[in-house]
Amino acid sequence: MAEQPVENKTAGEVITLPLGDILTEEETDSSYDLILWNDPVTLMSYVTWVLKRVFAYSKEKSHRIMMTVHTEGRAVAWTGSRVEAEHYCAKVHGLGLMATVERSE
Amino acid sequence: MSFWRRPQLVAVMPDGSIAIKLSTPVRELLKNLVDEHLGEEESGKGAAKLFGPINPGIEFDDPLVLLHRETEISGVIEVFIATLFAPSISIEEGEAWLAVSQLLRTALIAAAGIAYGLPHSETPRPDDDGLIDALGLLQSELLDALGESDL
Repeated sequence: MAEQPVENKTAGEVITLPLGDILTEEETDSSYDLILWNDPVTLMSYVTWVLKRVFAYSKEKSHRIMMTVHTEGRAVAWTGSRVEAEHYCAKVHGLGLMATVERSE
Repeated sequence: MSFWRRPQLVAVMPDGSIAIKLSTPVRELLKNLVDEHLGEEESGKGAAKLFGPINPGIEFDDPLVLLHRETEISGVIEVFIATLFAPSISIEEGEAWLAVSQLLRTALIAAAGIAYGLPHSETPRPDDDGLIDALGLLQSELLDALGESDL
């Protein structure tokens, strides 16, 4: 587990705590999916552009996820910790696409 | 024999900027649409309501995440409004135009009561989709200008 330097303000010294002491187990659990949902009007090329821009995916990977959304109605766009998934979701909403976060099955 | 070609809405200028070829009344219409459907552009709260909960599996979304969403939304709307009547815009500003066009389309879909999550082949389109299509045309040309047309 990664460690984060934390300032001990009382003593004025820097101590190091495991990241798990700061974030809860649920927050660091890497089993949350960001789900992208289909709608009838959004351009396929726009969805691909959003995937490239938000997740820095390759053109091929972005296109593959977009096609899954298009044909199946939804697709897992990203999997990781709950905190990161929720912030990615906020970014995707900011670009106008419907997305939610749910625990991986 | 004649060939019809639809008017071009977006052009890439020699300096790399993007010219948006919309009349003043159309730009005013876009401003009114943003006010009507996205509202509260300074906070981003109006448009954020379109998306509902971020994590439906928990009782309340993290306020920091909700603030992040509102900031993302208000950021693109702010850039869009600031450049709405500019003769040309930068690539970054063009991305904000893309996002706001999408937010408007999302608002119009929501107003039409269209469901999310069905495969494309099973999803009905809105009856009156002229405005949604026009915004889609603008998006399509912006994506062309950003070099995303080959996807």
